[in-house]
Amino acid sequence: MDTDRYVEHGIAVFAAWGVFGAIAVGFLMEGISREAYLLSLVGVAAAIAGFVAHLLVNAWFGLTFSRAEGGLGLAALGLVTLVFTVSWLASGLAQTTVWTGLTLIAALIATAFLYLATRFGVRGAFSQYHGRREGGGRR
Amino acid sequence: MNLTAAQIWLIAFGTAYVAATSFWARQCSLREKGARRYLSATGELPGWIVALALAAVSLSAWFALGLPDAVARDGFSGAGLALATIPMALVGVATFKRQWQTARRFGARSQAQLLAFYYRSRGFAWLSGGLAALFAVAFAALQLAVLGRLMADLSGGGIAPEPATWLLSLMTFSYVIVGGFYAAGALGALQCVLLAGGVVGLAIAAGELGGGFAAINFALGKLAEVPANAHLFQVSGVVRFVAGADDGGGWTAALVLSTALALAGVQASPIATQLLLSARDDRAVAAGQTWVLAAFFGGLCAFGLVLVGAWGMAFASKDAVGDLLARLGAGSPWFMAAIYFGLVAGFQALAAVSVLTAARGLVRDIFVPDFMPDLSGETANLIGRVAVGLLMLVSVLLATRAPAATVSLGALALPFAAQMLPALVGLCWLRWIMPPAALVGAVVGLAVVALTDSFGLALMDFVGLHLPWGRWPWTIHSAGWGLAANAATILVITAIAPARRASQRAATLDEFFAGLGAPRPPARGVSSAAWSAALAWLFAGVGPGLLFGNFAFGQSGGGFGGWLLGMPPLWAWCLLMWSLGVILVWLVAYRLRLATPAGVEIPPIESGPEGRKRAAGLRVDHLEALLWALSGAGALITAAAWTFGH
Repeated sequence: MDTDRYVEHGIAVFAAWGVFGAIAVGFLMEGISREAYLLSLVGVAAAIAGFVAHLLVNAWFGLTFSRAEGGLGLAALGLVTLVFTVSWLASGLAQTTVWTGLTLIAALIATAFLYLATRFGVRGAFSQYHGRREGGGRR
Repeated sequence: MNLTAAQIWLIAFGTAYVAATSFWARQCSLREKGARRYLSATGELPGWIVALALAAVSLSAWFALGLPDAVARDGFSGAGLALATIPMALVGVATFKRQWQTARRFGARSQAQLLAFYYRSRGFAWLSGGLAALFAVAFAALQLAVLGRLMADLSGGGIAPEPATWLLSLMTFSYVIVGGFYAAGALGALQCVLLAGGVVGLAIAAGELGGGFAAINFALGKLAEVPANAHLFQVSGVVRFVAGADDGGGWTAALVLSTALALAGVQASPIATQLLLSARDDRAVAAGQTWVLAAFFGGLCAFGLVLVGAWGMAFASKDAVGDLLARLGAGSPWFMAAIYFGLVAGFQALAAVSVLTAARGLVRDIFVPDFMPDLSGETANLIGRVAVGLLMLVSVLLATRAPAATVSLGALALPFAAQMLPALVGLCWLRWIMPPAALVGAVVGLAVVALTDSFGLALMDFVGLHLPWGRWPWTIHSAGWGLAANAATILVITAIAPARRASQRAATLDEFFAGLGAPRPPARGVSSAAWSAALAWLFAGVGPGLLFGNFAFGQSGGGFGGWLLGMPPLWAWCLLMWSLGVILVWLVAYRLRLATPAGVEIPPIESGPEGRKRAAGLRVDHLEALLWALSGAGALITAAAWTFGH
């Protein structure tokens, strides 16, 4: 991909995550601090909307996720899961926070799997890691 | 040191934002031809990015910060300013396509080159360069100072206003100096989205903290029932023949109209043209002006920002945005920080593009052609980078050390930019506007703007000449006075000059546009209907027709029960006019095809407007003339101040 398209695609992706990511973080924090599960759900929905917007941008530019993007996504998911698990085990989170964390993690995993399944089929989704390692990513 | 939640979230969002801008600036600088294109990106950005960046630059943080405060302070007569997005879009629709086409055909890379080429006058290069510098230094400093103070307030004293202002400037400088114009334009699209998110967030916060839309309007209704508050809910008249608009009598229709013209001036500024010429094609002009600027941002202004102002009015806050964010920060610091950096993004969109346009104008359009014609491109870029640094330094010094000068100088930027409008209309449409008329008209317009605004009044006072009027006499904004003087000068010079066409270039352009296919309406009568609709909208939306808004949807002083739509009648009128304005812009842009692409390839001609190279080396004679002129002007002002001043 030439540099111009790389920059344009990146700006569009950042624009999508800049808005939906901020909304997601804001509503998740709001839900946790007010112990309002519905507000947290709005945050989860915003995170999924960011992911969908990312997919739409990718489709517009005729691209798939790059290895860097995939790695970043997995790392973020791993970090969220780790922080949530440690917090849960160590300090005993409030009921709403537990449900928020579980919903977020489950929703992110489900969305990612749904994407892979619709794109590559259920079986292909599991073999994506090997495929990527052999064929490499976009960049 | 214990950080408060607000400080933590400001740091978190600020770090993420700086990381994003720095990353993309670096990516842009790594492009193959990054060094060569540092000061401009002519024809390199995709249309959608330019459309978004243009919207961000046109509104910047200025609308989001200024409009709610105007409503909170002066009432719903100030809400008429929310409709300024429609005149802005009309200016863009009427001039952008032809500017882009002309530049593409004749190789112009800036507004200075475009106008200097068409009117065969170096004067326009100087005007355009100076205007860009005014935006980069004073207009940016104005927003920088406000955002710096806001950051200090929101951080609860964690950072003082001056360091906050320096920090914001450094954040902008860090990506501008690395990425150049391509990065500034590309990030402008990202900043546009963040600004829109910030404005939406502000409106939601106002609704939430005000107890909901109905509760805010109920509180407004209580205010409206008090006779002393009548001026807050109605336009005070068509015009008031007073010395200055600061007499406390509220906004008149003339003030709304002339201020809307001033705000629309940004579309005629060299900043807007520079971004426009960065587009690869003209496909996104119509969509950008119609759907992004007029429809989306127009709606955000007419509903969202006015709601923030209404919240401020209902809760007796004159600094609506600041107070709203402070209250939001107490309960939801994450939202406060996100909204704040949305506003910062709006400011940076303008600051980055304007400082690069100014550096380009000063170096490429003034210094190189007039003082050192054989300067290499690389050296010019290096000087341009130094100019970027100097301009930003002056801007931040102005913002932190000279707040009064910042306000009076910054206030000139938009009305000054509006004075380029007749020259641009001449380039795009009116061939009878001759070069001397356009240039003299613009200069007279600038002088009249200065003399009817606070800067010129202070300057005249300094030299001992006390003008018998105040800021914005007869409640007409300086932009209105300037445009009237500008147009009158053009008409007089055209009338007394020998009857001939503007120049050979006018014939060339006519031939060029005819070759592209004239914009014909699809049906007879659509054209006249559209122009009639435009005039009618200007009358009813931002002109004397605003007075209908005082009573069209109920009695303004009748309170909540007397308002037909459960909101102040003038606000409802503005929303109606916004929706009609969007239809109007669509009609002009799409049905009249003023902004739709020509659909044909425009091959550039071989010799561009830069023309042949002149004498080699430094033009000492030109430099001497400039120094003598500056010294003479300085001496004259000093002598006058010494003799007559006090």
